[in-house]
Amino acid sequence: MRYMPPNTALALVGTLVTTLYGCQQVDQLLPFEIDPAQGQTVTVTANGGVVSLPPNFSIEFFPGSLPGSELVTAQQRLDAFPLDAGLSVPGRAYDVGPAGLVLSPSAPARVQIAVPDELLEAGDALTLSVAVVRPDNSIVTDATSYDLSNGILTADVYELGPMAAVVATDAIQIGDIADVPPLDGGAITPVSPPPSAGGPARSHPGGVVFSASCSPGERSCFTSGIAKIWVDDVVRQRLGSNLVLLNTTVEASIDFFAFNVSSLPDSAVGFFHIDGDLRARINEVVASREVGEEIAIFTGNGSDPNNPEATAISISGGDMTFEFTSQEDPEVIEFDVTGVGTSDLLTIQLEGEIEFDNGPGVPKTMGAIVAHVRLRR
Amino acid sequence: MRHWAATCTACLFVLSPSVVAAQFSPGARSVAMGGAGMVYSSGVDAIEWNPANLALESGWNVSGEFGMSGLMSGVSCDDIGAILGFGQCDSQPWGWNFDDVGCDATVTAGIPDNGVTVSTNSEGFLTAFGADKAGLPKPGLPLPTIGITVGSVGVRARSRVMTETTVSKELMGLMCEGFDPAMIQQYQVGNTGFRTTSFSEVTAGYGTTLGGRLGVGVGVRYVMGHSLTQGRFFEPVLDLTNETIEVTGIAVESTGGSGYGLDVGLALDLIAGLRVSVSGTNIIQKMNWDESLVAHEATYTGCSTGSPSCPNGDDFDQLDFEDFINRFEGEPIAGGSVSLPVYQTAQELFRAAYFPTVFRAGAGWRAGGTTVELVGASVSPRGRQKNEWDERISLGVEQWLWILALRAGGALGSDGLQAINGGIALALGPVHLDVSGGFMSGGFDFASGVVTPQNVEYAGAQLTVALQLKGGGR
Repeated sequence: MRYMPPNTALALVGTLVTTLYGCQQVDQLLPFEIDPAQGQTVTVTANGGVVSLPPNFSIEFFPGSLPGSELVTAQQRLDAFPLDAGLSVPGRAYDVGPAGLVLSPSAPARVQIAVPDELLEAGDALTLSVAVVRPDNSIVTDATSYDLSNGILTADVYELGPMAAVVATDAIQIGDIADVPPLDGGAITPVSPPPSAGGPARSHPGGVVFSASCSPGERSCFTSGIAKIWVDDVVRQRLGSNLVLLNTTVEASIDFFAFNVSSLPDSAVGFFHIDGDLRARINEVVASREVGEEIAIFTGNGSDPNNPEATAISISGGDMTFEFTSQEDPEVIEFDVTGVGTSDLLTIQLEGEIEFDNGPGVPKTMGAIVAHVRLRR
Repeated sequence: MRHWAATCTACLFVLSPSVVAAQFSPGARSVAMGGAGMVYSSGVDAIEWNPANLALESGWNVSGEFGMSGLMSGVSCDDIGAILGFGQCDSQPWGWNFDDVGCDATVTAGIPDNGVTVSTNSEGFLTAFGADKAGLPKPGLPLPTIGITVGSVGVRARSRVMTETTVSKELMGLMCEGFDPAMIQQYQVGNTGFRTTSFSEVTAGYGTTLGGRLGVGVGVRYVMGHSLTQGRFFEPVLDLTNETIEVTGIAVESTGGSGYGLDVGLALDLIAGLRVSVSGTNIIQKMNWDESLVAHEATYTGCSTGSPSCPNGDDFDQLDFEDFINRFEGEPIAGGSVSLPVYQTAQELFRAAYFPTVFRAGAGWRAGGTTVELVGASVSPRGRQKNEWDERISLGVEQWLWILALRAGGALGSDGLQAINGGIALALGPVHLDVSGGFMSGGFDFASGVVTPQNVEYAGAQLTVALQLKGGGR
């Protein structure tokens, strides 16, 4: 047997190991890695298309979203996103242009933003939304769905512009219907003496008007405390135990324009309307359900909520009975009046039903939703 | 009960040749011996197992082979019997009547909470045949495994399709029972996804002897990739207002590729019919897939048929299996126009999309017509183009009785997989017909005295038929 010097043997072994190691395969790279800061420009036609900034952003235009060909740009946003929209998720803001381009209402574009859960605080998933800044600097937020398994936030947008994943700060926690506090009624007294000619205009001399208004773009319904919501077990069984109301808008006004000899109001005209997105976590998905028709009521026999008609009312304890409303006739609404400084706060309780489908031929399941709306005189 | 859902269930639970067709390991002899068979492999088998045997065994061989096999993880054979209402697996599973397989709540209730995973490794010919019968797109090249060896050289060509599919219990329920808005809280996609790799390979082997007892062999392989597909289903988009769901599936495909591999082997004949054998497959290898990708996307809507929010009906109620597959539409992926789901799906496409190095070592004894082999196989963690059952220890025995050979064997795989196999061979002159098969499980009740059943849910089977012309050699 021929003798091989140790150094030669070592060199041979080293060469063999190096060769084998050098031949070890590494993973191929995907062919579409790009620098998000450089941005992307794609011509999107009326037939649709996708503009993306992998790995975190894409916007898909469906057939009909655009009336014709458009040069759509997408770029990582370097400027701070407006705070009004909520808390921005770090690194998830984009400028999508042409800013202000309005899309077809019947074919909105679908925005998807990667938001891994490590970017979120506990509970933020439920209020995660896509915010779009409009040319007039107002902000529209929307969230169709959030896939927790894959960390994909999906929303339909109707207009292009700066957009970002945000954690909404105006989410109203939904309570359990068993915890609805009782409303104890109180005195709604006419204004005396009647206003002078130069005073503030009222619908009727001596009348009392209570009103409330809040929305995401103006006064937040959450921070203002104007609205509180509760649901029953049926809703929780169908939608989950952890629920919030996002994008809440409250418009409410009630004008007690006539009083009886006991100084109790006996006629009123007004409306109460709450809408928003009821958000729930269902397994690994956060999804939304619009709430609107369920908690809306206006006085009178008319059909136009924008022009309510007057109706007779009576008050007994904590109950205010409206003779004619868009709901029941008569409709009994619980209320509570408290004095705050020189003003009064009227809290009214609105009750509604949420329908749940059970498939063809099976009666629907009805869940209950209760709202307290606080109006100020 | 839905026809397509029944078909889908059958695809998952029935090891039909059309879909779950695979080769347990190359060669009918090896299959019959529980994955052993390397030590005294000969002819075309030797090209795969140990090219050194081309020199030691010599002779000539022309071989054509069909094999089928598949493995399900997450369910045992008894589970399948219970799910399908057939009773215990021990009570003659070959007597199960799959024509009666339905797909309803009683079936889906039996599916494990974490879903079911099916791994297959099928020959291109059988896969294409099965896909054609089922009206599905044909994957890969429809070629059977063929090979020829003369003396110490040989060449073998084969086409394979490897798949791994996982379906969550909830999605199976949705597909089986249709959409029910009252169940909207229960629908989730979970880990549902699939991966398929189809390729053809041509391997040339050469062996030589050193000193008469030591065989040294080398194999060189060219791989032609046909398709590499990564599929994934995303959590449903729930519209709680209209009480509908949208389930989107994405498949990203590379439509071609090429690669090579180098195998080496050593075999040493000791005394009294003893032989030791070691081999390495893909000692050096490379696989490059085309970067021109195609994205296939399909969206299925679940809704209450007849409701205003369901103008086109409930997809999960009205689509049959073929429609379900055909819903996927392919579009080339252009840079800068990749939706996030496509991008996320593509992330997994090229990850370890190559073949692992496999080391095998074995010892065997052969005297007269009797052969006993003990073989172990270790698979490198790098490279995912492999099967769950590739890493194992196999013990096999073969007994020739004039023109008839009886073979049996068993294997202990990684993660608790057990296999029990058997087979026969009929040799009429140079014509050899080999038939072999077996079952894979997490444990066999009747063999529990010998091998302790593992607490792992597996169910699988394999069947291989080979027709060979052989002559010369040992």
